[in-house]
Amino acid sequence: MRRLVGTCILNLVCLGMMAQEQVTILDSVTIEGMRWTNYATGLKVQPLKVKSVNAFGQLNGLLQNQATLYLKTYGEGQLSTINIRGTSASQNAIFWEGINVNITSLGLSDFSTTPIALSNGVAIQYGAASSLFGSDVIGGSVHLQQTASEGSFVNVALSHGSFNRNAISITYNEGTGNWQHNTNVVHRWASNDFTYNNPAKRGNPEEVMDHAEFFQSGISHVSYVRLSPSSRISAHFWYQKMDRNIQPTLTGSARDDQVDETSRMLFQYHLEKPTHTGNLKAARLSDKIDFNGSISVMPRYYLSYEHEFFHVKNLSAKVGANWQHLKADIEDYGGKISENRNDLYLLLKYNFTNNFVLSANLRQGMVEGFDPPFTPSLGFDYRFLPKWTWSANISKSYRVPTLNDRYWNPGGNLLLKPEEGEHAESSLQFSDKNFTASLTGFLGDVKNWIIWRPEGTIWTPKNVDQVSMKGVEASFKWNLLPWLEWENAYAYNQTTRKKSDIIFSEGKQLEYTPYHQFRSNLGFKNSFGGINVNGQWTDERYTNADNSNSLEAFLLLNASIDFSPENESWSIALSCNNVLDTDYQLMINRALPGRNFQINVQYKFNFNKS
Amino acid sequence: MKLQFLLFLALIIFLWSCNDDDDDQDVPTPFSTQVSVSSATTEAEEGATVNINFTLSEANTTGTDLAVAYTVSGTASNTDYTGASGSITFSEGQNTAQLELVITDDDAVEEIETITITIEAGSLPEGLSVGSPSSITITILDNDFPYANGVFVLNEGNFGSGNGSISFLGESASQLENGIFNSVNDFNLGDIVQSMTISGSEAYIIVNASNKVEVVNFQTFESVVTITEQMANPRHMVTRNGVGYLSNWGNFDANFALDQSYIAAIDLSTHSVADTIHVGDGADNLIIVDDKLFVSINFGNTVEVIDLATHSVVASMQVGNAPGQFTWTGEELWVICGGTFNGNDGQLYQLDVADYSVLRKEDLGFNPSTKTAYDPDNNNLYFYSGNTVYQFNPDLDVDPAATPYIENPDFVGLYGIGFDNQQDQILLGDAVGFAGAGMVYVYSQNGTIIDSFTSGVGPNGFVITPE
Repeated sequence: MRRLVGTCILNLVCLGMMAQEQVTILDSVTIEGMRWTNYATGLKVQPLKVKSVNAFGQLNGLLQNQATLYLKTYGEGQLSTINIRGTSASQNAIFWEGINVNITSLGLSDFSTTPIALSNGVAIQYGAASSLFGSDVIGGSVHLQQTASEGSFVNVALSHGSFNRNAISITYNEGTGNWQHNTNVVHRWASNDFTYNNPAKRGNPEEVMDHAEFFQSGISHVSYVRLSPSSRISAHFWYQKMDRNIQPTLTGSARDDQVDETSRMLFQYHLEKPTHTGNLKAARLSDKIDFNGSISVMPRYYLSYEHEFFHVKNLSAKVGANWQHLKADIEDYGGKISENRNDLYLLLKYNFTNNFVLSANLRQGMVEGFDPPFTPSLGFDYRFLPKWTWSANISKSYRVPTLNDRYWNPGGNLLLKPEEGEHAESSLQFSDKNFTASLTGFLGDVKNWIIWRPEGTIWTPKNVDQVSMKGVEASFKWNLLPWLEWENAYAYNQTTRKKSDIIFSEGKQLEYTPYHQFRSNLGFKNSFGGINVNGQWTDERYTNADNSNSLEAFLLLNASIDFSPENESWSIALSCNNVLDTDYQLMINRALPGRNFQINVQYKFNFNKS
Repeated sequence: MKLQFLLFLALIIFLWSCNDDDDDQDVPTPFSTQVSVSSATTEAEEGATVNINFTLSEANTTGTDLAVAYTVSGTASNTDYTGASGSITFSEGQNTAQLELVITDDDAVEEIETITITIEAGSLPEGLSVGSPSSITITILDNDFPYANGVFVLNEGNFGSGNGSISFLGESASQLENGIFNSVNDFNLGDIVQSMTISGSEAYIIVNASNKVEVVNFQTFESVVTITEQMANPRHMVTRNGVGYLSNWGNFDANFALDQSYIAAIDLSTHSVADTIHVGDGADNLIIVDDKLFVSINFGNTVEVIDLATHSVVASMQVGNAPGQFTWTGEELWVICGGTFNGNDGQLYQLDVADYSVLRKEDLGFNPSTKTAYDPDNNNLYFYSGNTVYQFNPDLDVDPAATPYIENPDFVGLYGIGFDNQQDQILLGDAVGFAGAGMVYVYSQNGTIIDSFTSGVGPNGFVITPE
């Protein structure tokens, strides 16, 4: 119970930014995935609204609509990587049940291959947090949770939309106080035969996309079993497979195909005593990419143990270690490779008062052939007035080079050093019954930034850049009336190359990092359903390191209306995306669809009331 | 009374004077004629002389010269022509007068301009009236094409970004213009501008990742046609007798290997592929010597020879690894070989064009660029390795590795080389890590820097306008 005090403040601090659809069903058995928030003082966390009615939803769309980050998206249903606070794709990571699941060869995650229907909760953590999560978390992280609840129900959702985009998802849940199971199955497919204007052809003709079709299937499952009042085990499975045409560039005519397959399996043992907790994880994760028949296989084994102590009054201490064994069978590496990565960490949290929580986290990574830096962090949350909280955090961060960076043949560079960052951020939150607001400022400096450079005709990665980042994030949520909610978020990012081997790029803004981003969401809601209008404005983005080329700023509007009468088990939602038919690109030379529509229906079968 | 008298007197004088005229039978009958203007030509290039003819419907019989004034208007300025003074004179007895309008031959690239000459009706001599036509318009055609003389810089662009471009360097650095294709035409050039070949009035721009050849008038850079048929990773083109021979790598298979490289023979009058000739994997640079097409098989270590009469491969010569660009000195055929990755085993091969054998081999001891530039004055081949430019003279026994020719600490990553045989200059392209705009460096023949400028992304080669 002592721990809960800190957690409450933290929830107040972190979770107030944007409304969350409360995952009410959980008791303490199912919060493993977000357990780290206890020690995340001074960090900004934003849970996302996940609508179970949208079977077609994928992670990149969810993030783009609700978060002030930038998604480098190569087309509809195509590779989509994330840029939080002006960082590169591999300086951010997806965590599944607390495990970094970035693809080890590329060191990044493709956010378009993750169907939201497989997860029960998504949260974004902004900013560097290597002391909590290890490598890759320089810009931020996205956390996926799988939960189960008591009760027995089946939820079925169907989607149909423009460009023959379809999806069906089924959730099955069954549970009592002692065991709970939750299974999600999804199948999505789309022709993506949208029209676009081609600026690369004579007369800029309107063309129909003919090579962006995809089929995707996935299944996720979680089971919790309580062994005793203080211990439980859980098993988590996640499998997804996406078979897609690679959308060609506007100027290209390539006809590439790719199949991405991910399987994850995790067993946990969890002990929860008043004086200590223990958590043992054993997992096998595997990514397989088949590009035009050329296959890369990247299996991984993961083992971790964490032990948390509450022996000293007001102090929580968690000590943990994990071991990862990475393998890769990739033709371009010229042979199979494997390596071990280990982390040791100590997380400390001290509640000076109920209103002042301080945490100090220490982590040391160990990677074969490397010397990852020691990454400490120090942060606090201070509720100095009943409705006001001040938070701050300073930390170090790092990123181990990807397997491609090191083993690609030719060009791979075994002499690379890890990227290393130093960061500070501070925020002020106000939280009232109908109004919450937050203001965050951050500073950072990352050295040994890795860039691939040509050496003659061979490209090779080098530790060449030093990047400084600073910015401001502001947001508020205002329940103007009981049925009217207005949310806004703004971000300013100035991320520039301080030093580079290429002097033309020094002092210049990083590629695909908009200075200004703005999101606004207006929601009307009553007992029959609601109307939602979402607007997002994204500033000009440079596409070259010397800022000689850029993509124009754009405004997107999305609108939806849903009928979800209270006490009914069904709902219907109609949505219109890109209402203004904005012609925009998220990656240079990659077409995206204009105005499009979608209808979603959902029905929930309740077998018993619990 | 006095006033009435004066009026009466005036009337008398008036009547008298009239009578005096009427009674004078010696003066000629009153002169009354029309003046018009015409020209045999209404269109003229700069430098031409246009004869503007002024005509009287009757010859001048006034006994004096008749001066007819005219105005000059139109979009041309008064520096665009000479000879129009504003007045033309008909001598006694003449019914025509000619104005020689000389169109100035300047060097400026201009739009079409007009000169309109209009007879000034208000100031015609007595007895003259304006006939038809009363004005004439001459259209001036500029003889200065924007890209007639200079160097085209091929900027391949960032892969996948569709930002390939062409820069044009006129006779002075101030005449640098980047992105000429996109500014003349209303669409983007495309993805990876690999090479360009000029034949006749047309330039053929090989756009590798867009799988197309963009055909333009090289002097105006206006697009003529886009060839996409049977294009699969097109690389380089040479032309002969109205046929373009274009190497295509073919499509990569799943393991990024090639097995279908070919030469497409393109009929340049119809811009269509007339034939394809299967060659070794990674067919790249080409040269035609004595009606034979030599093809460097860049993914291997051979040079194949195609008989252009039969379109068949007649020979294959083994050379070093990764053969690239050919140099024909007028007497000797050389090919550069990049060597194996990090093998420091680049070579230059001299090939016998008669019996298709290797005549000579020079070991370089490093991995050179597979691009070369040839300086015919000094019989020098230039190429680079890393950020050093080397030279090789087949007639001199000097080791290139021992005598670096050009070095410059400003170089980030050399990516293209060329020789301007009109200005006698060595041209170097620096891709600057593909981080953005590239740099082009201009050196004299003897290796001293003359100039540098910012180009498009990834300058990979140069094409000199034909003389």
